[in-house]
Amino acid sequence: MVVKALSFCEIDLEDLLQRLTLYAYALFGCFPHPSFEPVMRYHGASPEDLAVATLTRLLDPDDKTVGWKPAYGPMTRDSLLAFLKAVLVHDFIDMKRKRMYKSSIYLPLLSDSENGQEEKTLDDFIEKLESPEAKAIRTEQREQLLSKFNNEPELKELLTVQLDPDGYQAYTNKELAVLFSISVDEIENRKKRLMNRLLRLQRQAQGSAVDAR
Amino acid sequence: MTKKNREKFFERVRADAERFCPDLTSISKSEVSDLLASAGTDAGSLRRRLNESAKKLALAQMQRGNKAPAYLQDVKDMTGAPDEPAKNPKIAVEKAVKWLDGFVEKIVAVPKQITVERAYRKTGDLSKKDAALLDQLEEKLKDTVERENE
Repeated sequence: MVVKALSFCEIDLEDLLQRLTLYAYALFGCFPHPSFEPVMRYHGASPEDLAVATLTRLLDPDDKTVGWKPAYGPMTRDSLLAFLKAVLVHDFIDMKRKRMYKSSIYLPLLSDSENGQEEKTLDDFIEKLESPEAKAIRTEQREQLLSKFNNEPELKELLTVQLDPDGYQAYTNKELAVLFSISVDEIENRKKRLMNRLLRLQRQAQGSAVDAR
Repeated sequence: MTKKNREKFFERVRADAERFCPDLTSISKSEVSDLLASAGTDAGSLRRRLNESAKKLALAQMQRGNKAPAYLQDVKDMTGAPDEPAKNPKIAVEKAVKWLDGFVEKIVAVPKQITVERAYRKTGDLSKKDAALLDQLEEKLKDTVERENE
Protein backbone atom coordinates (compact mmCIF):
# COMPACT_ATOMS: atom_id res chain seq x y z
CA MET A 1 0.00 0.00 0.00
CA VAL A 2 1.29 3.45 -0.91
CA VAL A 3 0.78 6.19 1.64
CA LYS A 4 0.26 9.62 0.18
CA ALA A 5 -0.61 11.14 3.56
CA LEU A 6 2.91 12.41 3.89
CA SER A 7 4.33 14.63 6.59
CA PHE A 8 7.46 16.66 6.04
CA CYS A 9 7.48 18.70 9.23
CA GLU A 10 10.63 16.96 10.46
CA ILE A 11 12.39 17.01 7.10
CA ASP A 12 14.07 19.98 5.47
CA LEU A 13 12.87 19.44 1.91
CA GLU A 14 15.12 22.10 0.47
CA ASP A 15 18.14 20.35 1.92
CA LEU A 16 16.82 16.99 0.70
CA LEU A 17 16.38 18.32 -2.82
CA GLN A 18 19.89 19.73 -2.85
CA ARG A 19 21.38 16.38 -1.83
CA LEU A 20 19.32 14.59 -4.45
CA THR A 21 20.49 17.05 -7.10
CA LEU A 22 24.07 16.38 -6.14
CA TYR A 23 23.48 12.67 -6.59
CA ALA A 24 21.92 13.36 -10.00
CA TYR A 25 25.10 15.20 -10.95
CA ALA A 26 27.18 12.18 -9.95
CA LEU A 27 24.92 9.92 -12.01
CA PHE A 28 25.02 12.11 -15.11
CA GLY A 29 28.79 12.41 -14.72
CA CYS A 30 29.27 8.65 -14.49
CA PHE A 31 27.31 7.88 -17.63
CA PRO A 32 30.23 7.35 -19.96
CA HIS A 33 29.33 9.95 -22.50
CA PRO A 34 32.48 11.23 -24.25
CA SER A 35 31.90 14.74 -23.00
CA PHE A 36 29.69 15.18 -19.98
CA GLU A 37 26.47 16.91 -20.86
CA PRO A 38 24.29 18.21 -18.06
CA VAL A 39 21.39 18.18 -20.51
CA MET A 40 20.32 14.95 -22.15
CA ARG A 41 19.89 15.46 -25.85
CA TYR A 42 16.31 15.21 -27.10
CA HIS A 43 15.02 15.28 -23.55
CA GLY A 44 16.35 18.54 -22.20
CA ALA A 45 16.58 17.03 -18.73
CA SER A 46 19.40 18.31 -16.55
CA PRO A 47 20.42 16.87 -13.16
CA GLU A 48 18.34 19.62 -11.53
CA ASP A 49 15.31 18.76 -13.69
CA LEU A 50 15.59 15.11 -12.80
CA ALA A 51 15.91 15.77 -9.06
CA VAL A 52 12.95 18.18 -9.01
CA ALA A 53 10.86 15.77 -11.11
CA THR A 54 11.68 12.88 -8.76
CA LEU A 55 10.62 14.76 -5.64
CA THR A 56 7.52 16.04 -7.46
CA ARG A 57 6.51 12.45 -8.22
CA LEU A 58 6.57 11.68 -4.51
CA LEU A 59 4.43 14.74 -3.79
CA ASP A 60 1.95 14.09 -6.59
CA PRO A 61 -1.22 12.57 -5.05
CA ASP A 62 -2.05 11.02 -8.43
CA ASP A 63 1.30 9.29 -8.91
CA LYS A 64 0.67 5.96 -7.22
CA THR A 65 3.94 4.44 -8.40
CA VAL A 66 6.11 6.59 -6.15
CA GLY A 67 5.02 6.65 -2.54
CA TRP A 68 6.24 5.92 0.93
CA LYS A 69 5.16 2.47 2.10
CA PRO A 70 4.74 1.65 5.81
CA ALA A 71 7.17 -1.23 5.30
CA TYR A 72 9.96 1.31 4.69
CA GLY A 73 9.77 2.35 8.33
CA PRO A 74 9.81 5.89 9.71
CA MET A 75 10.32 8.58 7.10
CA THR A 76 13.52 10.48 7.91
CA ARG A 77 15.65 12.66 5.67
CA ASP A 78 18.17 9.85 5.14
CA SER A 79 15.63 7.09 4.51
CA LEU A 80 13.71 9.34 2.13
CA LEU A 81 16.92 10.30 0.35
CA ALA A 82 17.82 6.63 -0.15
CA PHE A 83 14.34 5.95 -1.52
CA LEU A 84 14.37 8.95 -3.87
CA LYS A 85 17.85 8.06 -5.12
CA ALA A 86 16.49 4.69 -6.23
CA VAL A 87 13.55 6.38 -7.99
CA LEU A 88 15.90 8.86 -9.64
CA VAL A 89 18.15 6.09 -10.97
CA HIS A 90 15.14 4.30 -12.47
CA ASP A 91 13.91 7.49 -14.11
CA PHE A 92 17.40 8.27 -15.41
CA ILE A 93 17.71 4.83 -16.98
CA ASP A 94 14.19 5.07 -18.39
CA MET A 95 15.11 8.34 -20.06
CA LYS A 96 18.21 6.82 -21.55
CA ARG A 97 16.17 3.88 -22.82
CA LYS A 98 13.44 5.94 -24.37
CA ARG A 99 12.93 5.39 -28.04
CA MET A 100 13.91 8.92 -28.94
CA TYR A 101 17.19 8.66 -27.12
CA LYS A 102 17.86 5.12 -28.30
CA SER A 103 17.28 5.99 -31.92
CA SER A 104 19.35 9.11 -32.06
CA ILE A 105 22.16 9.96 -29.72
CA TYR A 106 25.22 11.89 -30.58
CA LEU A 107 28.62 10.46 -29.87
CA PRO A 108 31.27 12.56 -31.54
CA LEU A 109 34.34 11.00 -29.93
CA LEU A 110 33.33 7.40 -30.57
CA SER A 111 32.67 7.95 -34.22
CA ASP A 112 34.66 6.65 -37.17
CA SER A 113 33.78 9.56 -39.38
CA GLU A 114 36.31 12.20 -40.31
CA ASN A 115 34.65 15.11 -38.62
CA GLY A 116 34.08 13.04 -35.53
CA GLN A 117 30.29 13.27 -35.66
CA GLU A 118 27.95 10.37 -36.21
CA GLU A 119 24.66 9.26 -34.80
CA LYS A 120 24.47 6.00 -32.87
CA THR A 121 21.87 4.16 -30.94
CA LEU A 122 22.24 3.53 -27.23
CA ASP A 123 22.87 -0.16 -27.91
CA ASP A 124 25.56 0.71 -30.45
CA PHE A 125 27.10 2.94 -27.86
CA ILE A 126 27.11 0.30 -25.12
CA GLU A 127 28.50 -2.34 -27.46
CA LYS A 128 31.22 -0.07 -28.72
CA LEU A 129 32.36 0.80 -25.20
CA GLU A 130 34.29 -2.45 -25.10
CA SER A 131 35.93 -2.03 -28.51
CA PRO A 132 39.71 -1.42 -28.64
CA GLU A 133 39.07 1.98 -30.22
CA ALA A 134 36.74 3.09 -27.44
CA LYS A 135 39.16 1.80 -24.82
CA ALA A 136 41.99 3.79 -26.41
CA ILE A 137 39.85 6.92 -26.42
CA ARG A 138 38.92 6.36 -22.79
CA THR A 139 42.56 5.96 -21.83
CA GLU A 140 43.40 9.20 -23.61
CA GLN A 141 40.53 11.03 -21.92
CA ARG A 142 41.57 9.60 -18.59
CA GLU A 143 45.12 10.88 -19.03
CA GLN A 144 43.82 14.30 -20.05
CA LEU A 145 41.61 14.47 -16.99
CA LEU A 146 44.37 13.27 -14.66
CA SER A 147 46.76 15.87 -16.03
CA LYS A 148 44.43 18.55 -14.71
CA PHE A 149 45.21 17.31 -11.21
CA ASN A 150 49.00 17.52 -11.44
CA ASN A 151 49.10 20.17 -8.73
CA GLU A 152 46.89 18.15 -6.42
CA PRO A 153 48.64 14.81 -5.87
CA GLU A 154 46.16 13.57 -3.26
CA LEU A 155 43.22 14.08 -5.58
CA LYS A 156 45.10 12.72 -8.56
CA GLU A 157 45.93 9.59 -6.61
CA LEU A 158 42.27 9.10 -5.73
CA LEU A 159 41.03 9.78 -9.24
CA THR A 160 43.63 7.43 -10.71
CA VAL A 161 42.22 4.46 -8.85
CA GLN A 162 38.60 5.56 -9.29
CA LEU A 163 38.99 5.71 -13.06
CA ASP A 164 40.04 2.24 -14.04
CA PRO A 165 41.29 2.33 -17.65
CA ASP A 166 39.61 -0.96 -18.49
CA GLY A 167 36.17 0.04 -17.34
CA TYR A 168 34.48 2.07 -14.72
CA GLN A 169 35.67 0.21 -11.69
CA ALA A 170 35.72 2.15 -8.46
CA TYR A 171 36.51 1.22 -4.89
CA THR A 172 34.56 1.51 -1.67
CA ASN A 173 35.73 3.99 0.96
CA LYS A 174 37.06 1.17 3.11
CA GLU A 175 39.05 -0.30 0.23
CA LEU A 176 40.46 3.12 -0.61
CA ALA A 177 41.41 3.76 3.02
CA VAL A 178 43.41 0.52 3.08
CA LEU A 179 44.97 1.27 -0.29
CA PHE A 180 46.20 4.73 0.74
CA SER A 181 46.79 3.91 4.41
CA ILE A 182 44.57 6.75 5.56
CA SER A 183 41.29 6.95 7.44
CA VAL A 184 37.85 6.58 5.89
CA ASP A 185 37.11 10.17 7.03
CA GLU A 186 40.08 11.42 5.06
CA ILE A 187 38.84 9.48 2.01
CA GLU A 188 35.45 11.18 2.37
CA ASN A 189 37.18 14.53 2.64
CA ARG A 190 39.18 13.89 -0.53
CA LYS A 191 36.07 12.69 -2.32
CA LYS A 192 34.33 15.98 -1.54
CA ARG A 193 37.29 17.96 -2.84
CA LEU A 194 37.52 15.75 -5.91
CA MET A 195 33.84 16.09 -6.69
CA ASN A 196 34.10 19.83 -6.26
CA ARG A 197 36.91 19.97 -8.84
CA LEU A 198 35.16 17.56 -11.23
CA LEU A 199 31.93 19.56 -11.10
CA ARG A 200 33.85 22.74 -11.86
CA LEU A 201 35.62 21.04 -14.77
CA GLN A 202 32.28 19.79 -16.08
CA ARG A 203 30.86 23.29 -15.85
CA GLN A 204 33.86 24.71 -17.70
CA ALA A 205 33.57 22.03 -20.39
CA GLN A 206 29.89 22.81 -20.75
CA GLY A 207 30.67 26.52 -21.06
CA SER A 208 33.29 25.84 -23.75
CA ALA A 209 30.84 23.61 -25.66
CA VAL A 210 28.21 26.36 -25.60
CA ASP A 211 30.77 28.95 -26.75
CA ALA A 212 31.84 26.68 -29.59
CA ARG A 213 28.28 26.29 -30.94
CA MET B 1 23.00 -6.29 -27.53
CA THR B 2 21.35 -8.53 -24.98
CA LYS B 3 19.09 -7.23 -22.26
CA LYS B 4 21.54 -8.66 -19.74
CA ASN B 5 24.43 -6.61 -21.13
CA ARG B 6 22.34 -3.46 -21.11
CA GLU B 7 21.30 -4.07 -17.51
CA LYS B 8 24.90 -4.74 -16.55
CA PHE B 9 25.96 -1.47 -18.13
CA PHE B 10 23.33 0.55 -16.26
CA GLU B 11 24.15 -1.19 -13.00
CA ARG B 12 27.80 -0.20 -13.46
CA VAL B 13 26.82 3.43 -14.04
CA ARG B 14 24.70 3.38 -10.89
CA ALA B 15 27.44 1.75 -8.82
CA ASP B 16 30.02 4.26 -10.05
CA ALA B 17 27.80 7.21 -9.19
CA GLU B 18 27.35 5.77 -5.72
CA ARG B 19 31.08 5.41 -5.20
CA PHE B 20 32.15 8.72 -6.72
CA CYS B 21 29.61 10.69 -4.76
CA PRO B 22 30.56 11.64 -1.20
CA ASP B 23 28.32 10.21 1.52
CA LEU B 24 25.24 12.39 1.11
CA THR B 25 23.94 11.64 4.57
CA SER B 26 27.06 12.87 6.36
CA ILE B 27 28.14 15.96 4.45
CA SER B 28 27.05 19.28 5.88
CA LYS B 29 24.51 21.62 4.34
CA SER B 30 27.21 24.15 3.50
CA GLU B 31 29.29 21.47 1.79
CA VAL B 32 26.28 20.47 -0.30
CA SER B 33 25.72 24.12 -1.24
CA ASP B 34 29.39 24.54 -2.15
CA LEU B 35 29.36 21.45 -4.37
CA LEU B 36 26.18 22.58 -6.10
CA ALA B 37 27.68 26.03 -6.61
CA SER B 38 30.69 24.37 -8.26
CA ALA B 39 28.29 22.65 -10.64
CA GLY B 40 26.67 26.00 -11.38
CA THR B 41 23.41 25.23 -9.58
CA ASP B 42 21.62 27.96 -7.70
CA ALA B 43 20.15 26.50 -4.51
CA GLY B 44 17.54 29.26 -4.40
CA SER B 45 16.27 28.33 -7.84
CA LEU B 46 15.90 24.68 -6.76
CA ARG B 47 13.75 25.81 -3.82
CA ARG B 48 11.62 28.00 -6.10
CA ARG B 49 11.14 25.16 -8.58
CA LEU B 50 9.98 22.81 -5.84
CA ASN B 51 7.61 25.49 -4.61
CA GLU B 52 6.20 25.92 -8.12
CA SER B 53 5.73 22.15 -8.45
CA ALA B 54 3.85 21.96 -5.14
CA LYS B 55 1.62 24.87 -6.19
CA LYS B 56 0.84 23.21 -9.53
CA LEU B 57 0.00 19.89 -7.86
CA ALA B 58 -2.31 21.60 -5.36
CA LEU B 59 -3.98 23.61 -8.11
CA ALA B 60 -4.53 20.49 -10.23
CA GLN B 61 -6.33 18.82 -7.30
CA MET B 62 -8.51 21.86 -6.66
CA GLN B 63 -9.42 22.20 -10.34
CA ARG B 64 -10.80 18.68 -10.19
CA GLY B 65 -12.82 19.53 -7.12
CA ASN B 66 -10.56 17.62 -4.74
CA LYS B 67 -9.06 18.97 -1.59
CA ALA B 68 -5.29 19.30 -1.87
CA PRO B 69 -3.47 17.15 0.72
CA ALA B 70 -2.20 19.03 3.77
CA TYR B 71 1.40 18.04 3.05
CA LEU B 72 1.31 20.04 -0.18
CA GLN B 73 0.47 23.15 1.82
CA ASP B 74 3.40 22.35 4.13
CA VAL B 75 5.73 22.00 1.15
CA LYS B 76 4.48 25.33 -0.21
CA ASP B 77 5.06 26.91 3.20
CA MET B 78 8.52 25.43 3.59
CA THR B 79 9.74 26.34 0.14
CA GLY B 80 8.01 29.68 -0.23
CA ALA B 81 9.93 32.97 -0.17
CA PRO B 82 11.08 33.99 3.34
CA ASP B 83 8.58 36.85 3.43
CA GLU B 84 5.64 34.62 2.38
CA PRO B 85 3.52 33.78 5.44
CA ALA B 86 3.20 30.08 6.28
CA LYS B 87 -0.15 28.56 7.23
CA ASN B 88 1.32 25.80 9.40
CA PRO B 89 2.30 27.53 12.72
CA LYS B 90 5.28 25.23 13.27
CA ILE B 91 6.69 25.98 9.83
CA ALA B 92 5.93 29.68 10.32
CA VAL B 93 8.08 29.72 13.47
CA GLU B 94 10.89 27.79 11.74
CA LYS B 95 10.83 30.23 8.82
CA ALA B 96 10.90 33.20 11.16
CA VAL B 97 13.87 31.74 13.07
CA LYS B 98 15.68 31.03 9.79
CA TRP B 99 14.98 34.55 8.62
CA LEU B 100 16.31 36.04 11.85
CA ASP B 101 19.37 33.76 11.73
CA GLY B 102 20.15 35.35 8.41
CA PHE B 103 20.88 38.58 10.27
CA VAL B 104 22.64 37.08 13.26
CA GLU B 105 25.01 34.68 11.51
CA LYS B 106 26.72 37.56 9.72
CA ILE B 107 27.81 39.09 13.04
CA VAL B 108 31.07 37.54 14.10
CA ALA B 109 32.45 38.41 17.51
CA VAL B 110 35.88 39.98 17.19
CA PRO B 111 38.40 38.59 19.67
CA LYS B 112 39.90 41.14 22.06
CA GLN B 113 43.42 40.22 21.23
CA ILE B 114 44.42 39.05 17.78
CA THR B 115 47.62 37.07 17.42
CA VAL B 116 49.19 35.96 14.17
CA GLU B 117 50.44 32.42 13.96
CA ARG B 118 52.25 30.83 11.08
CA ALA B 119 52.24 27.23 9.95
CA TYR B 120 53.95 25.82 6.90
CA ARG B 121 52.71 22.84 4.99
CA LYS B 122 56.15 21.72 3.83
CA THR B 123 57.56 21.60 7.35
CA GLY B 124 54.63 19.52 8.55
CA ASP B 125 53.16 22.25 10.79
CA LEU B 126 49.73 21.78 9.28
CA SER B 127 47.51 18.89 10.22
CA LYS B 128 45.92 17.02 7.34
CA LYS B 129 42.54 18.38 8.33
CA ASP B 130 43.76 21.99 8.32
CA ALA B 131 45.57 21.47 5.03
CA ALA B 132 42.36 20.10 3.52
CA LEU B 133 40.39 23.04 4.88
CA LEU B 134 42.87 25.51 3.40
CA ASP B 135 42.69 23.71 0.06
CA GLN B 136 38.92 23.94 0.12
CA LEU B 137 39.02 27.65 0.95
CA GLU B 138 41.53 28.21 -1.85
CA GLU B 139 39.25 26.39 -4.29
CA LYS B 140 36.31 28.46 -3.15
CA LEU B 141 38.23 31.70 -3.52
CA LYS B 142 39.46 30.73 -7.00
CA ASP B 143 35.95 29.81 -8.00
CA THR B 144 34.53 33.11 -6.75
CA VAL B 145 37.21 35.08 -8.60
CA GLU B 146 36.60 33.00 -11.72
CA ARG B 147 32.86 33.61 -11.57
CA GLU B 148 33.32 37.33 -10.98
CA ASN B 149 35.61 37.53 -14.00
CA GLU B 150 33.23 35.66 -16.31
